[in-house]
Amino acid sequence: MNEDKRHSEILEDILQFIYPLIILFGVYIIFTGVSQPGGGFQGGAVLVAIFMCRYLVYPDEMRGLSAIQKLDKVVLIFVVALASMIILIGFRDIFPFMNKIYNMAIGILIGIKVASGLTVVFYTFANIEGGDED
Amino acid sequence: MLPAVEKILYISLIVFAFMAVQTPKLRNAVVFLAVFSASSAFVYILLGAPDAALAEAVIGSTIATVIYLSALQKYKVFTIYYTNEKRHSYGQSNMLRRRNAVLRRMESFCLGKELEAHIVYTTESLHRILEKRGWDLIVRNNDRHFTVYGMEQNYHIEEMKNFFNEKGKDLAKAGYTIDFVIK
Repeated sequence: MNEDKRHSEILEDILQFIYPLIILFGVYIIFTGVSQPGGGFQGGAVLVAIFMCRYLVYPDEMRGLSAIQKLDKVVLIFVVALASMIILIGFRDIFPFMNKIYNMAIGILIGIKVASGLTVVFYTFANIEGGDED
Repeated sequence: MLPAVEKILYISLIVFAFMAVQTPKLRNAVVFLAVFSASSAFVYILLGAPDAALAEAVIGSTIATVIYLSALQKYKVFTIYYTNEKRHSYGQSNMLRRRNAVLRRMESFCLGKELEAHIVYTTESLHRILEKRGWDLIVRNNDRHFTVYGMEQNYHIEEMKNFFNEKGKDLAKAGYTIDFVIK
């Protein structure tokens, strides 16, 4: 198996060029999700592609995975807290101009949540010991 | 013009779904599923749901495909090295047509066991391949004489031996001889 897991230089070089494009596209989808098709979920799912590309080049354990898992949980608390706060206190009725800011903030939070959650799912899944590992 | 495009997409949805179910190889099925989701994303756009189309394109044809492929790579891939030291290279038609009867039998054996046969054609010598890791089976072809090398801890070798003993009689009639060597 070691022979197969050696990383390829072509992939590495091309991915270094592609990373910024993926980040730009994901952030664009998150930020324009307020008024256009898109939004936090789709943008976050695009951002997971970064970690998947990283897996293609270095298919080993990622070091910061537990930190990403913690981020996932913390951001979930923030999403629930922000949404319930806005709805319960009724900010949207008091300050109508808050609507767009609120939409964007919740989009960004959901984007981070989806990206980190799917990354954890993918890496945990990909590093499960297979049948013929020797 | 749009209705025609929509019709083509609907037909391609049915065709690719059918192909994904009917193909015997799991890898091909994964790729057909990816094409299926890409065309369904186009259908969503034409039906006026760009939001769903974006999610379908990202998740259906990218993330799910990568996860399926990495799962297939984890296990169930049976790597067979096929070496013929007398040859210098293999032509394109040689690999595509798989005219070799023994390799065809091995593929059907792998299909029966739900393994994905991954055949590597090489002209390297046996010792070079033995040094490598990551092979499950080495088939060495010398004219009509085949030698199959396998590891002792690989339990599929015994089953393959029985398979060839039972169903390989016509191969022996055609003049092929197969030896099994277990390391």
